[in-house]
Amino acid sequence: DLTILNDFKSINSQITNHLDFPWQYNFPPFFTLQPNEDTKRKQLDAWCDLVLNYCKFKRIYQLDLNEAQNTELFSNKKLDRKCSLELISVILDQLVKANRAEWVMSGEGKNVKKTTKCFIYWFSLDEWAKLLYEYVNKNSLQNTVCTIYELIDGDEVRKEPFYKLDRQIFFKNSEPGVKFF
Amino acid sequence: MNTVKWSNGKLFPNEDLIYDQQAITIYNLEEKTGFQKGKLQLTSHRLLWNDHNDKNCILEISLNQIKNAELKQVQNRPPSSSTSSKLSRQIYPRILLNLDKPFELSNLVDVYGAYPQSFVYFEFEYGGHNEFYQMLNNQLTRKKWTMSLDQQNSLNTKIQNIGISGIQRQKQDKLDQQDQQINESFKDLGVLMSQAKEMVNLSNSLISKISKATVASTNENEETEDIKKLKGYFLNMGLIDNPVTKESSGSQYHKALALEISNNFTKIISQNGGIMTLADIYCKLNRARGIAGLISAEDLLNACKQLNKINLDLKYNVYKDLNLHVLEIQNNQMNEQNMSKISELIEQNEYLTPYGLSKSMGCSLIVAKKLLLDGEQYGKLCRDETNIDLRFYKNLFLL
Repeated sequence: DLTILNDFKSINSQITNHLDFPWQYNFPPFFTLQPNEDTKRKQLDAWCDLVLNYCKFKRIYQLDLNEAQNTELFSNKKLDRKCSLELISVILDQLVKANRAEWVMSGEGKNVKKTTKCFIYWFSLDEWAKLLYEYVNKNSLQNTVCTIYELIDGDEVRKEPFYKLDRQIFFKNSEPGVKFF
Repeated sequence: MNTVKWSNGKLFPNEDLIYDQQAITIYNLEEKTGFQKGKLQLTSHRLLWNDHNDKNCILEISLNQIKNAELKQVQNRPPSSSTSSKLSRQIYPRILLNLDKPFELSNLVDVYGAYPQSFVYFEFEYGGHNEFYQMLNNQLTRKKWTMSLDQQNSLNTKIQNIGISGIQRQKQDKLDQQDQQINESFKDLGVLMSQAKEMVNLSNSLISKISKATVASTNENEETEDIKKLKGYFLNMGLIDNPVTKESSGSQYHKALALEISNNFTKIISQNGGIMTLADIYCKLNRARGIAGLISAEDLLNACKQLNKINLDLKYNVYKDLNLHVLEIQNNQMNEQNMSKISELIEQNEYLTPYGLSKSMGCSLIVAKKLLLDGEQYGKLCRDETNIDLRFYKNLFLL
């Protein structure tokens, strides 16, 4: 499971580390949805970990169901195995259940529809909020006004984990004390 | 005119040769005639008997002079006073023809002269009497000899017959054509049957040996073990002696059949993974029972249902998701055996397909699939489904 990172210094080093695929990635049955419930649970756990680690490593904030199928995450060229769309959506649903992902919705009111895109929260929204808040605290920026650009794209934050954070995720932030204008 | 007469052996223009059989001896009641071990030919019009030494010695009986035919199976011959019966001679099955008019073989040959009879026997030394009898009856009911006359008539009046009668004639032509095709295909069958005959003879003699041996060695366990083994081989080859029939067991037919299945298949099934589909059982059982004892699929199903009531090792089971009807031996030992066999095979090849398993276990494909799915259900295996096939791996997820 992903642990909440209290030690901010270790964040950058973790991100730049070489990504190791787990052993399951080279095991052909990993790419077929297992009918046996116990087996399936283990399989999906492994998939969720892999997806989060992979997205964190590549700094991916959104996955598109259809596009993702052909990335190295879901298809192993060496084995000639590829996840079916069904399996990918099961994995993403599993991540949503664990509050580690959220389907991107389109439309308004009664017409809200699930799209094929999915936010991936390799840090949960709360974690993002905390990271931002810690940064603000550390730099004594309380009760000041920062532009969004400054906070996530500026040179000042180049070394922070939320550098180039997806804006949609940024706006989902619900941490009290940060106000948007 | 005598009903049995000399012939030149040539076929009429529209006469078809249907079937023939070697080593036929003609009997005049209980008396053997001089016509021994010849070839009996059945055509659409006649029966022709050919002497196997003298090519010119051919007898014929027109089928339209045969009132009826009867099949006489082997039975004990009452001790006869005639001189020939001092040597104990094996009795072979016979076909009895009841003819329109009496005939005198003495007209034809004077060695074994006899009184006028309207019966004639054909003795089948090499067997094949059942098939011959069936073919003969087919021809007697078909009455091709009358039909060919009609056909000739219709051919003569061909030009006048247009309109409805023309259509009728066309249909008749078609029917005749089909008839001929059927006859020809039966001819092929006849060749096959005559080739299979030797095998049947061999198996029959082996069966009689077994039954003698069982009578002789009821007390010695070792020998009966051997006999059991031999019987097992026979079943594999396809032979059950004394198959249960509706006549022999009456209202208990299905129960008796269930018992027969249990006696004959328990061992075979336990050697083949403890499970066998009903379709396979049906084929094996019918092959083992032989032509005379064929059973219907419904009878087998009913027998299998009885099997569960008798409470034997063998159980009838239906797996609805696979639409699979099976007989299986239900004990955990069997399951463990299968699982260890499967994991052994997987260790060797990394993965296993249903086809691979069916090949190495000698069971049918669907049974192999069922076993692998069972393994998956127990959590021992996991699947890898590709466009090409379905593979099963050791379940490393749960280890």
